[in-house]
Amino acid sequence: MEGRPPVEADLIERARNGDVAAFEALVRAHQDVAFRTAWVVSGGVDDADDAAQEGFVKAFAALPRFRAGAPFRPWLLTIVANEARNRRRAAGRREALALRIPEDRRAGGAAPSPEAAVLAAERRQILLAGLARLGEADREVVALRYLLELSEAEAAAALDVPAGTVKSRLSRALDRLRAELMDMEPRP
Amino acid sequence: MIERLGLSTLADLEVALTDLATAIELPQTPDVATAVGVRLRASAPSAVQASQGPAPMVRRRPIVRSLRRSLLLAAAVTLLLVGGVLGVRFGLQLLKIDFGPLPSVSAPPASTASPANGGTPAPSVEAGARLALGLRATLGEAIQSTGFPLLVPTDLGPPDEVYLGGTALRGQVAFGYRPRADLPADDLLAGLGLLITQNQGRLDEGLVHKIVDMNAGTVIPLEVDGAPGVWIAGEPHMFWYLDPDGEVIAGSDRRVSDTLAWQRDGILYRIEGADTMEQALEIARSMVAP
Repeated sequence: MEGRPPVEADLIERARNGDVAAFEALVRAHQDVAFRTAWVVSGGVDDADDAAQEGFVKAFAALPRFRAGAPFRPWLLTIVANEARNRRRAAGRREALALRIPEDRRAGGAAPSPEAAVLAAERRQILLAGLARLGEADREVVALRYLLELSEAEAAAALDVPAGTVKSRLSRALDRLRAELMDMEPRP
Repeated sequence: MIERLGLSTLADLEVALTDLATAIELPQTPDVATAVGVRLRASAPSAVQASQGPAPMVRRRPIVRSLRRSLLLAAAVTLLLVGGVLGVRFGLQLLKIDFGPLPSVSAPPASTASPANGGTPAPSVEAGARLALGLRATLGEAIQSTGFPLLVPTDLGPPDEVYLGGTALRGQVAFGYRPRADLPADDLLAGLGLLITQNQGRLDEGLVHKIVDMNAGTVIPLEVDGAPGVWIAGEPHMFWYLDPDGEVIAGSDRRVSDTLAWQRDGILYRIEGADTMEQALEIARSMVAP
């Protein structure tokens, strides 16, 4: 056991007792997902930075109310996403989520042949275009579940809705995305 | 088309979205952990020890980054328009800063930098990044790489953080002091308690180098052990100067708090974040070569 890195539960317990260094370690472990979730919810990088920072500070203060043994990440995402939503509301607008594929990733990845690579690259671009045509709520749930790869529980926490609602919302969003893609078919 | 692209079914769509996740560009995560740590430590003892209720806010940066550029441009235009009037308004013989030759600065990568006294690197790079102070360095590295003698305030001791501005900041060296009892955290300094900067340059009589938030603030001419300087207090302001060609240059892409600025032997010194002019002067007078 000696020398083993502290597990999350240990860090939470230490942070609950006021250990800032322990909480910093927790933040470092979760800052990626928290920041990106805030980015999806707020639509802006600066707002996401502020929301993540503010959310973590509030989470530190709220740690005494955190139920020991409960999953930490969904609890944290609820707080951070709520901050992001508040910022979006306060601004009275939402920046459109800028989704793009960098030049060096435009090729089809690990496609088995050059033809398949071209097809995969085209599929990615079409999907991006389809996502851009979705409504904000649809794009949000798709981005959280597929692009950030949040679990259903985490997406539910970020959206502040029950897990069942995520499921139904996602299903409707995928239906609409598919409809958008079909709508993009070149007319004969 | 969707058949050709393999998107015929919802299952296909889910697979394609999973593939898209591997290619999509996600924004780079900032160093949230350090910023949060700074804020929590600055809010001690109540939040840190008791952990009850929301942590007191460290004063945060007052403007969003996206507005900074617009503010700078607006300030530049205003400076050009009203520069001649400012001297009268402030009742001050205004100063012009001409920068001398730029020193050769060779800064180490931030990841290998260690704190001022050469110990283990502190985790806080957030303040330097947020204030765009340049690359993290040690005090020893700053002394070696800067083409002028650096001064360190004996009142405060070695800085907690040292940054080299390089040519982009005209060879500026910045000393950051973290919050403590006599130096409360300042939101305009990204949570630092005090910031000291040193540039190779020259103070001449001439044009304005400070705009005190366009219409507010106090500017007091003074001397620091015989060297000419100014104390600028009141509303947060931006730091400006005109280069030798008369071009408006933003000395920093941010608003700054109360500042003591003075010049000696071709070096421009600034202290930001002191609570009072007396405190700033005391720190300034204690500055000696280490």
